[in-house]
Amino acid sequence: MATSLGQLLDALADTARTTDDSAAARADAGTALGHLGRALTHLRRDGVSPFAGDRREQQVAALAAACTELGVRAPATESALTRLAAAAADTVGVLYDHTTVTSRWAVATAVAETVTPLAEVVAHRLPAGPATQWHTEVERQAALVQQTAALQPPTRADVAILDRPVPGPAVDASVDPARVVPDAIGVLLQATARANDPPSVTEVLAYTIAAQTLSSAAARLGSTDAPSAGQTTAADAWRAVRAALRPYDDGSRRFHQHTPSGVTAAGRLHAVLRSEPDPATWTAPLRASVTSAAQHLPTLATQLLYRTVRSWADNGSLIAYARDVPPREERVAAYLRGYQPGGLVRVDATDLQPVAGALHNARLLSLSVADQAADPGARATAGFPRRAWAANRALLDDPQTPVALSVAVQQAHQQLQARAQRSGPSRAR
Amino acid sequence: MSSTDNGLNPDLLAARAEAAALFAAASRNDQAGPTAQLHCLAAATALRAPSGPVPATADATDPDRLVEQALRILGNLPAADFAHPDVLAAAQHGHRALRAPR
Repeated sequence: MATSLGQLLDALADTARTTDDSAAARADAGTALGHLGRALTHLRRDGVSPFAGDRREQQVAALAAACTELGVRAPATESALTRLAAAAADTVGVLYDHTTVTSRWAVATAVAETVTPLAEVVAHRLPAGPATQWHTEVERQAALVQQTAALQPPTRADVAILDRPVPGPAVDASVDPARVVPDAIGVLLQATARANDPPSVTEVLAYTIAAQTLSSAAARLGSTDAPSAGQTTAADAWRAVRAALRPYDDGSRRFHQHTPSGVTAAGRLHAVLRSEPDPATWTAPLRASVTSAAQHLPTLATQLLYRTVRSWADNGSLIAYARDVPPREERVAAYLRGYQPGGLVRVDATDLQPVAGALHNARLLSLSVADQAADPGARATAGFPRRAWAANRALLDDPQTPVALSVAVQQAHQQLQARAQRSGPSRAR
Repeated sequence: MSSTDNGLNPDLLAARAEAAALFAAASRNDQAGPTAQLHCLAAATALRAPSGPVPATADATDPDRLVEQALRILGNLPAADFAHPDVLAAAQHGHRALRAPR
């Protein structure tokens, strides 16, 4: 089952606040602090400030060191607090590809807040000695990080990283759809997070099918009325992304021993939602998981736009027939060769503008459908990614968004119309 | 610097009162979402400052700016004062208010 760093840290803080005062609990909290020290060391090493060695970095490093030292002095144990903290620290590592300097600062702030209740558990009856000194240092450094965060608070968009789903172990195809959906969206987000080693065009085409199916399901969940004919939806915008991608290829014929995990996840998400098309028949957990997963669709579009497509453009890793990309003077010869090997050209950022535009539109329309699906009932369910929703709402509340949204609707519609008009014999494949 | 009966110096009390007033103003701002309003109320209460009426002019300001201003006041306190459990709790509620939906 997918989880998120925010869920783990919230559970850790709640468990610490309600735990009994016992020697075992204190040992458990001490070991848990050691794991949070590991998480903070990760964050410090990857960078929590745009300025190397500034106050944020020094304070996070000092808190990491203090937590680690205290953890080393705790009796070895592995109870609830330790397991949660260890999972949180591992998740920080897993999320590396998803993070930026500012989102790592948001995570460091959240971890520092979680340190406080854990340190309170340890505080009772701590014998005088190095452990007490390190405990005092942990409390002092945790307060200092939080003080700097008060002066430089992370934004809603940065905090949304806490809700990023991290997939659990692969599960059989026969399991509950309510578990397949969050795991699948977690895998898709992970597959598109890396700028180096981006997914192939074929893989991205599979992801857009999953995004289209999920958008469509979320739209049906958010509204009882069927969309009127001609009305462009988020699902249409994802279809337009696929249409925009059609001319491009990475030119390789790679043999895959196994289907890439992202493609498998996309296929499973599509299959489970297609097999249960009527939301009225869905179980409450499935409705909740579709609503939650839809909150991450704008992030999927953003990652495809700013990581995958940018990487393709920077590396020149795609090819297309000159006839299928915006015409350019220097490509006249290739254009005249038509759909022959000599007509192929290497694609750059300018050629990929239609794909970038389509992804931008898909992001805006996905924001809208995610917000419609998140009715007050859905938001009250446990595990709802409220930070991701808050970040989506902040974007929707931007005064420029309504205009951008109506432009996106028009453009997505035009892209699909243009594609329909051009569908006919084109290149030989 | 003279201390008051509860052991807090007047500058610290003034800073807490100012931050609490800003949190209180944010908690009554219509633009703030219910979760943010609750966290602002909790932050204002945590600071244990005497409450007063919220000026109507505060409604014209974005609630996020009010919370940020309150956090800045708390963040500029001496480290020992910021580490006080009341102040730390108020800052944590302030952060949660900033993370909450509008």
